[in-house]
Amino acid sequence: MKKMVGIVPFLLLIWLHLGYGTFGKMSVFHQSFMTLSNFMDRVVQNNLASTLILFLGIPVLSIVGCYYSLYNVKSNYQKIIFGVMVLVSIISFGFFLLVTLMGVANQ
Amino acid sequence: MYRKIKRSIFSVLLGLLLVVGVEAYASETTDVSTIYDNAVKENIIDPTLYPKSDWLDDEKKYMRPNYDFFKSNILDSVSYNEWLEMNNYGVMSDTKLPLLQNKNSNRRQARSAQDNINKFCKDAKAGDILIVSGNFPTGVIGHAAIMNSDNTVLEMSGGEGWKKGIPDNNHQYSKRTWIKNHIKDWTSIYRISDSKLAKKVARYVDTHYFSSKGTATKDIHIDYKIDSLLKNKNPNYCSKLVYQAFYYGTGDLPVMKPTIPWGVIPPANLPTTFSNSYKPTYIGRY
Repeated sequence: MKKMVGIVPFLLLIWLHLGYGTFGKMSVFHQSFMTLSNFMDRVVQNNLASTLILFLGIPVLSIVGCYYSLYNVKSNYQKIIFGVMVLVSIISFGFFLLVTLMGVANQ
Repeated sequence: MYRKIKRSIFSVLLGLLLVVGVEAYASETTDVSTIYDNAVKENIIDPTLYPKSDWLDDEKKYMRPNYDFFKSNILDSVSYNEWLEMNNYGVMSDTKLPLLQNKNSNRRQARSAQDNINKFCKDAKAGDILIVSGNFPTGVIGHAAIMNSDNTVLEMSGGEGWKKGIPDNNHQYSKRTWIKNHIKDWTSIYRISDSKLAKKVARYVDTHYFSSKGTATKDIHIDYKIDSLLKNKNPNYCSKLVYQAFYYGTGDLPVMKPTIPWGVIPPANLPTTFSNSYKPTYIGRY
């Protein structure tokens, strides 16, 4: 359970990268990203708010979840893995923050 | 008895918390003037370009509200000082010109809007880098474009729908139309010293990002998306297009600093991506 707190949001973060197209467009993931993004736009009714939830909410969730798992697992091997996941989550947060700022500034 | 002790401990702690909180807030707000002085001492702000009264005015009107928005909606662990440092105290890192002064402010202007348009049209040349900085809610990000001939500007315009990607977003405008569209914000021109190389870059960007025949008819269509692949030409975004123009358009010359092919280049940081021997010089602000 303690591992899942970190793993689930991290997988969501990986999906966000693949769906958004950080490393190039992958149509299968992009389709699901578009579906969720359209759904969020409809539910939140505010483009900026839905962008912030999607682009900053998921990385923050991943950072918090991975930190929680990092401090709660006992094996050193697992600690290293969660440490790397925290690092990836922090870098991803920086990336999506910059993307959001640039996108908003140019719209 | 036990309850009384518990209550008094709680009251003391609450009092301490309030005192510390108020003190922290007070020190943060009263130190704004010192922050400016330190930034001047560290040669970040040039007081002749950005006088203290103007900076304090912008701090109150724009920086503090932007920080509050940033803190409550994006990241609450960053202090105001750190945030100001991140935003280079509201000035361009190379020219030290203020980023937060828009043209609607009442401050003395050296030129009128029309003069600015005329001066821009006179000064801008093929291969020039155009960086727009204004009173964006995001503070320092801006927009970038490149002169793909002596008379035209090429840009990835961006716009609504950037999150999902915007198809066919590369646009060419006459320089007069382009500057008119951006006249409400400040546009800075940067230029590399080798004029032949600048022309070569302009020709490259024209034939690889707009019209393969080098005519006014567009036959290259590039989608807008802010991704991390710096060397991938499609999709593209404003500052990546300018970066690639110089990266690919200058052949084997070491014009750009060696970098990992992964990342995002903010428009305001474009001049820092050049190697020292080819660093573009600041021509003027319009």
